[in-house]
Amino acid sequence: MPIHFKNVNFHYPNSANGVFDINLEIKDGEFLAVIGPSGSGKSTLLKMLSGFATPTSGSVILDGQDITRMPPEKRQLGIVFQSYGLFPHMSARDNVAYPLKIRGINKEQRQAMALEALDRVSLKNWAHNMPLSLSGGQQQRVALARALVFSPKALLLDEPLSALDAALRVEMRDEILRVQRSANIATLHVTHDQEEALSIADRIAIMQAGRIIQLGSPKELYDNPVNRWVASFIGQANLWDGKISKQNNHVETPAGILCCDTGNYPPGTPVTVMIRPESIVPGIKQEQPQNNILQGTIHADRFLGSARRIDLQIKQALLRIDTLSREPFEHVTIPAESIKLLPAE
Amino acid sequence: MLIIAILYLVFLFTPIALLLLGSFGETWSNTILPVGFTWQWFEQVINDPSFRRAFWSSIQVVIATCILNILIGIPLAYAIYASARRGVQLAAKIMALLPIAVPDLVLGFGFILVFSSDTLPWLGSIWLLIAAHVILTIPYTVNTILADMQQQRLHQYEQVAATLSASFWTRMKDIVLPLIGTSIFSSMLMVAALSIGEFQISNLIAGFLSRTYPVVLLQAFYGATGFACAATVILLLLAIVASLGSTATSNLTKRG
Repeated sequence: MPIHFKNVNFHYPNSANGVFDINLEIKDGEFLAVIGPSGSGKSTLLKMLSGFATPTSGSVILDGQDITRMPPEKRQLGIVFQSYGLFPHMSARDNVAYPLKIRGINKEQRQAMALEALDRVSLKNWAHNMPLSLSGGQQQRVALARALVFSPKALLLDEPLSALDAALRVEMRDEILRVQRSANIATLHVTHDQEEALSIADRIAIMQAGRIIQLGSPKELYDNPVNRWVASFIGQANLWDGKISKQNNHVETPAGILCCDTGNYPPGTPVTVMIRPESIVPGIKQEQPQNNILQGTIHADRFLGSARRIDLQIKQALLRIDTLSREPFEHVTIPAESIKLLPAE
Repeated sequence: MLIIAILYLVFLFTPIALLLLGSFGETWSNTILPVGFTWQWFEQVINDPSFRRAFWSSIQVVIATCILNILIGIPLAYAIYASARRGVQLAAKIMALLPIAVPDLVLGFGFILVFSSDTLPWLGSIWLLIAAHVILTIPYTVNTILADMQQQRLHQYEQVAATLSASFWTRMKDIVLPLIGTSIFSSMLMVAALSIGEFQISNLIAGFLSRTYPVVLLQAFYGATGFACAATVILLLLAIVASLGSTATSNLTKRG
């Protein structure tokens, strides 16, 4: 069911911190990730939705109902906590059956439902294990099964993968997305891991200092960040101070004058020039128009397995390049369409 | 380390062993160990009306102290744990620790001063004795349970249970009490042991008819050695019984 934050503000007492002017709608079945550095207010947002914090002003609407001041136990939200919060004195099955017990479902039926929920996260054979005898990933799955078994109105994920090692995190991402899709439930996922958000979310809200500074699909955020900070927070980027050239559709950069779409910027305007490392083509391509070719010396060359990350020194600028090519080169071509201009800072 | 451990055990168990020997020894004078075997000392203690009365007084006091510790100590520990403000937590901790810090004698004289007045003439009643024992033992209960709550991060589980729609009392019954069950159990063992052996305050404020076993035991040392030994062995047995009893009480409370 849809979630709606309407003009929500939250001020921490005796401090200038908080969250401000939050307007956010999560549609039914949508997976929305909130990312931002620690202290950006993303956890506060989650607390206000789960009922552990009350907004100073504004309202939180769940399925058309104002839940701003409703206590957590009445909200019917499935929440997976960072620490999972599995009850250590109950088996995996009893943990999953617990919300059903509270809802007055009889023992036989709730145990059957719990087993079914555990089966959906591939843990049927572990039903009788106590939480402490399960691995981190398994505990995560039990927590997910427990959060969904009572058909909640929405799903909240509070940094659920941060306690897992890297390989398992990637596996659990797919698992969470699969379970979320089959439950078709509005989901708010809070994380500080931008890669996790990009890979899993329908839309991403980026928070900084208590405000949502950009909201959009992963592609929008990656390709068209609103400012330099977003560009550097999401993925890798070469970010240079530049100036719109007098020559039409050209920008002056520390590496030289480059041709690109300058949009509505009048000549002489200072801008930030953004070039993603993987969009740069090593060498000179014959079929391409012969512009935006730069020459430099290799400053650093790192082999990462799936890619090679090179820092190329061009005049005073350092250009980071991600490439599959293993050949030596000293020229690079920057396609005009991969140069993005952002407001100067 | 080994030598220290052995010495420690020797000092701990020698008196107990000698007491056992003495309580069954027919005569024990001018010899290292008692001579002969007899049940007579135990028979004498059991048939002594003041010892019998003291025995039952002690049992009553221990049981009541344990029950009151559960009824007061668990909510108190929970309240201290749940209070968000650090100042409150600190104040509550100091309040709970004061009975340990203040000498029993001071507490006893205070009781005598307050409760021998005309307005509060309760000195000598068994309830006052129970109250004194509760005051002396409650810090152990509160501290044990509070430490367990903090160590387990109880509030995390409570938050989870709340999001699963469990009401306050449901959370108490299903989550809080089962999780702190072990510490309730161990604090009851401690409370029972403290209460059964308590002498200073009991000696000052107990009425003639509600004297506890250790208070009456003091008299035994003015009589025959065997009699004193037998009376002390019974105190040891009483301590064991009280521990078992308090265990049963805390188990019942957990289920209820």
